[in-house]
Amino acid sequence: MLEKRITVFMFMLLLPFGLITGRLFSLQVLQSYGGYAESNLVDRAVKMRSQTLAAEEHYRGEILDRKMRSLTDSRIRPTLVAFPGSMADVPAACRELAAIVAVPPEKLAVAIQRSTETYGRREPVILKVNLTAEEVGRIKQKKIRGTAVVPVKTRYGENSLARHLVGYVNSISPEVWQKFSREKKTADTNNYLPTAYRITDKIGVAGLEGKYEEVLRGSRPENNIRGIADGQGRLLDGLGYKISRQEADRWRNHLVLTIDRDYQAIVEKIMDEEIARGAVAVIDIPSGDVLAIASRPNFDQNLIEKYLSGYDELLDRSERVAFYPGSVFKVVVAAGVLEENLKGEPLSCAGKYVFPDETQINCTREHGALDLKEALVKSCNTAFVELGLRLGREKLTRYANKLGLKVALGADSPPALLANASIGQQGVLVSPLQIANLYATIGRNGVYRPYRLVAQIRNYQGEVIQDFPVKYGEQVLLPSTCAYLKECLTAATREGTGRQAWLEGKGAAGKTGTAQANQAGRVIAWYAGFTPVENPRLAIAVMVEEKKSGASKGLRGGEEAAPVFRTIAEEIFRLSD
Amino acid sequence: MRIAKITKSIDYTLLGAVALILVMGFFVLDSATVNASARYGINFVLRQILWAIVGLGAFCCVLFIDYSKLSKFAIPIFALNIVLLVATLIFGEETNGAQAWIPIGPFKLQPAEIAKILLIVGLAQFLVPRIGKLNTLKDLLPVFVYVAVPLGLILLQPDLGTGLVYVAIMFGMLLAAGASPLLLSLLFGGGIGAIALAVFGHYTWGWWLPLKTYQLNRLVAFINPMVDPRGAGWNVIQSQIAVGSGGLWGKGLGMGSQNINNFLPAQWTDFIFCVLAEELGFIGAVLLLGLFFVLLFRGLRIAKLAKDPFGTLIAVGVVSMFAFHILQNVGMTVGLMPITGIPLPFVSYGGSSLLANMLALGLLMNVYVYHDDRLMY
Repeated sequence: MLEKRITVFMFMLLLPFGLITGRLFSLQVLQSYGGYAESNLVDRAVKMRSQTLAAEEHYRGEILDRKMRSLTDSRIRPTLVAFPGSMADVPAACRELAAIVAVPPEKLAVAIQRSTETYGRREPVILKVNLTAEEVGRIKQKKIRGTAVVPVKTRYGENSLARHLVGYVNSISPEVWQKFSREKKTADTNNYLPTAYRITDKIGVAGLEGKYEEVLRGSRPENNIRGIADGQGRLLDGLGYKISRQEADRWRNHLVLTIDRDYQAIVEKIMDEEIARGAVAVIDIPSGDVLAIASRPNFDQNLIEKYLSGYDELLDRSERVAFYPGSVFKVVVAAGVLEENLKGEPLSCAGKYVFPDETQINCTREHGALDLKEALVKSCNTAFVELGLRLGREKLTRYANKLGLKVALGADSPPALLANASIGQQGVLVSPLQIANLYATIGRNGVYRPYRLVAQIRNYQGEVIQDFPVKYGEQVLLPSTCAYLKECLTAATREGTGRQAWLEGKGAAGKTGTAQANQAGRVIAWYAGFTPVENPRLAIAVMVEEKKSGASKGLRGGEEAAPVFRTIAEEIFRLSD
Repeated sequence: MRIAKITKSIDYTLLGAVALILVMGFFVLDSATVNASARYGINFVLRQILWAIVGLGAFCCVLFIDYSKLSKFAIPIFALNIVLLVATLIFGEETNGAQAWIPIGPFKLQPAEIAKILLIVGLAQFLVPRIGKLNTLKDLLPVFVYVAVPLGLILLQPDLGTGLVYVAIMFGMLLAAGASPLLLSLLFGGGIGAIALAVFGHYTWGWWLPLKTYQLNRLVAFINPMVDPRGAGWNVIQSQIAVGSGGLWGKGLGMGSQNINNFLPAQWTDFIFCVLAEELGFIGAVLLLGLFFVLLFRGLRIAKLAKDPFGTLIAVGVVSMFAFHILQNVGMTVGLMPITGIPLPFVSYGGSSLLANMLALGLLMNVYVYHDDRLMY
């Protein structure tokens, strides 16, 4: 009885063993060696192991110069990535990494935590972009579990230019996030919007990045890395990465600016050598296109948090901060006087202008008798106070407005205020870009044209979807007025206060300015003008608040700003001629 | 004198097969723990060898006591079994969601492993008077009750895998004891059918099931692993990929990319067969299966040769236990069985398991050593 059953048992064992052996034969022999190419397990193993990760830091369109070159220096660079799923000890790894990449360990830990909470532990997190060769070496040497250095397309590089104009991206603030939620622009409120925001996204918050956020924003990375990963989703060293291009991101558009990257680089290089605090704007006179615009001190777009408390670096002195123009404003008064035919009576300077109530405005010296041209060349305050008073508040305001400037003088403002405005000291606040455009208008023989910064919006395929054409100019000053002003400004530069701005051969027509800043003793040095004198091409405004050497007191337009004008113009001409 | 007699009457084919399995296991374990040894600072192979030596001692001890004397201790054995399992529930430490370990000094023991052997001996004695009288459901009922008590305690830990081993042991021994094959088939088929219906009901009408979500997901993943290839299906897919990528000759020890790169779950315990199949290929896998087959076949031969039904039933119980472990473990790695975490005998890393297996082997050998010298066929 028992024996028979056990014999049955023996035969029963054969069946599962046979099944398993057959299955092994099928898996290991038949499927491994041809025949079943589709289900080839070796192929499948590789497929399962390859991990795709977004190789783009921000899914945004490019910001390009007039020749379609990136202004932000966006490029593929080594980037530190963490794979939270395979990190053995996150705090310890963060401490080790922090020592190498100079980012506080808490920040790294928070980045990992936020990503893990939102996307899970298998999703890689970018910890630091733009690693230096030294950092890459040290990270690879350390071999910290769950980290890798991979090539990622980052938006801002060290050669990023026009940073104040371009702006920067930053995390979404709670208020903005609430606004997006109300507008159904977030991933959790709108399933159908490909560009929907997620809480960890960065958005443009300043400059063109902020202004054109909706234009630039894309929906997905265009670059991906395919790498062979291990069981925890960590890329394996030594097996190599392949940058694979996904299909294009149809949602992102590119911004084409009027800036010329080469000229911008020249301007920024010279500013870095000469100016610690200040701004420069360069306008192409025929078109009104801004060719270069820069502000100092500069900032690093990858380390925005560093500046948010101080804020000084982030100020765009070239376009968004207004200063007293000082004597560079005198051309506006001169233009008004010429247009209104008020220059008739001769002027005289006794070293100061005294009002009936005995307040007085000082001049640099006692100039004696002079005409309008001499007054401009010598930058005589007394003469321009007299001319400003002759012109009157209304006309001064009108001519300033025609030239794209604002004068804030109330109807009941006393004559002293009008007098101060006439020499650019009070009631007139301008940006260097506006001043550059003022001199461009004179160089254009009185045709005013609003300056242009953004030329085109192009879609993901590079087709122009929106054009911002050069605006049709408006004749705001008579050509004869401009011819006279040009003569005066040429003289002011050739033999007057702006001598250091004079270019050999091409000449320059412009005006220095030294405006008092609010703080005692601090001044702003200006030089604004255009060059060449014949057929002017470039209008350049230079504003210096503080020299590179640290000097910020006793600056003078002719000494500090004028040489910068000349160097910039010379280098641009060397490149373009 | 006695030692000489014992050593002379040992089944060396069986012992040799197990020795070869152990040695193969050490090599594969060394490869499977390349990363883990570095991470945990443990030499897994050394520990496994030490446990094998301890197990060998236990094996020898068991040989000195004639198994037939154990029949007098049926009640204490049953009681000890219950005490062990209850103690586990009270003093056990929780690891991986099951309260299965009792810490003793520097070691952690899994009493459920030892309990399997106690069950075999106890159940054998329980079945001896019932041989040939197991034809109706009513006849089987006391046996079910006898097994249900320890089984219930195991499921409380909860350790579904070991619980299934108990069921397998019971079915094997019942079959050997002459229970109606039709009845057993009906019970077996009915059980599978009931489970299928319950799972179907759970997903269709939201029935309550005494299974955890991950266990259910495993069942679903067994049917279609691609439902969730990076979640529940991960183990199913990765283990088959490991086995399949091994090919005919394997990638060589320590060269398996699925193993080295940690694609395999629990690659030194439950999924160690994948490592072997990946690195030693079809040849290695079939060699190991052959050795296991020898182990089971010789075990059944011992069951036949046993001097009394008690010995036969013990041998059948041990073989059923080994058979279920082997077939379930290997079956799940090649996608023939759903994933249930039970170790591969003599190969998977684990002291309690190895010790229990050596004890079981000792018991089997004991039945052989003390069998009547006259061959039965």
